[in-house]
Amino acid sequence: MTSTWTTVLQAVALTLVLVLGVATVCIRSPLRQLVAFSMFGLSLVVAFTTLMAADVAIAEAAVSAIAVPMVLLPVIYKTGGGGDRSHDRGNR
Amino acid sequence: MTLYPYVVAGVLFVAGLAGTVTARSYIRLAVCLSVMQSSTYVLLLALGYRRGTSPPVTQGQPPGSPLSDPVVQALTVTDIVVSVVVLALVVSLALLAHRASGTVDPEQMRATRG
Amino acid sequence: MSRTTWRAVLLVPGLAVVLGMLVWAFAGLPGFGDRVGDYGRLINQLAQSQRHVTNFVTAVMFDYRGIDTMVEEFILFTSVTGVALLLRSTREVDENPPHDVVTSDAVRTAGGALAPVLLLFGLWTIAFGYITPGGGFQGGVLASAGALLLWLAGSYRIFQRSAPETLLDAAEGLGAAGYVAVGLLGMAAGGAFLTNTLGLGSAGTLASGGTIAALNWVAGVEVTAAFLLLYREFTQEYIETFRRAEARA
Repeated sequence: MTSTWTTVLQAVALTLVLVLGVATVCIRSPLRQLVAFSMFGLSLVVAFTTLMAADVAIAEAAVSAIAVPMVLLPVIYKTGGGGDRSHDRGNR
Repeated sequence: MTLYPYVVAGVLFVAGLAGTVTARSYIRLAVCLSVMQSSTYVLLLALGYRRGTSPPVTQGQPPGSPLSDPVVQALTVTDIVVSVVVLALVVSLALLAHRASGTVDPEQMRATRG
Repeated sequence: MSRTTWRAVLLVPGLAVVLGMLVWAFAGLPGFGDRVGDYGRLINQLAQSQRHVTNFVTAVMFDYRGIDTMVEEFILFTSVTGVALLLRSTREVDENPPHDVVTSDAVRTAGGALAPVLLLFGLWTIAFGYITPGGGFQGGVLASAGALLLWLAGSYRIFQRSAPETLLDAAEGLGAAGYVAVGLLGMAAGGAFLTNTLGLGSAGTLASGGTIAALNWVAGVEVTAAFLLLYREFTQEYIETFRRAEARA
């Protein structure tokens, strides 16, 4: 019984990874892409846990929640986001 | 379910590749590159999993229980740390390019002259 | 724009071909959940008796594949040096320090209370890395977040003061050099580079693993220092923006 539960959880987690990964690529505004990328990192943590990889899950959780936003946010602020921001002008 | 994780890894790779090729901003390029790298983690860990196993740590488990593959997980931890430093380097290069030319759009930067 | 439509027309068949080739290649792999890797199976059987540790991923990272981890430490070291070189080369120096102190009492209290908790949690993850899931790298990133919280919940001056540059440079260099030193210790004892020569204790306690424990701590110190240097460079960029915005206002 536990092995079917594990398989169901793995399927759900991998589907979440797929959806969030494609969403991260499709989003245009860089700030929203950063939020989606952090959620993608969280879904990867859940997927790694269901794949029975505990150390990898801890490493990915630490990196995607702490290091990635810390590295990307100052550069997004400094460069004003770059191209692909035509959708943002209405929501200032 | 026998092919599903591999399909997820393949689609993530191609999606990241599409985002990298069509990026109009170097920051977007860096994030899509990270998505491509994440697809390799999914592939490696899906290879290392065996049905009915637990994580490869024996503390607190009855001895003799089946464990998943630790070699692939060690490779993936190395890969995660390398991906964050690659992200930092690409993004700081984008910042320098922005300082020099005022834009992060690869299309609008002037070609360098020798 | 015709250029983007041309790009889409050329791109979609190419990507479809790549996706098809990938799925065809993956179909030749063993089915999900059926593969038993021989190297991994042997390590699961033998690692506890050979090295007296209970976390086999850490044993693989710091003992069986210790050379790969050493090269990865050097990658971390050189890329943080590269980022520092890149970002410091074109930064302008300003005289007036900015005013960026966080004024909300709730944020200051919560952040100030949680920063040592995060640091302790990171150190615990490093220390017990070869017994329970964790390790040098995971704990190093968590410990660096403890100092980062001081910037988020306080001001950047507190962060710069709590993570002084000379100390971080020294810690990072010592971490990278310490790894090589432990490897040379194995050579001095008569074996190959990175042989496990310190005494293996009893599995499940902190005094086990021999050089795995030493390499674990060395890697943890180096990763903490490297990530803190990275955060310093990037917060310096952020504060520069504040300075210029204030000068204009």
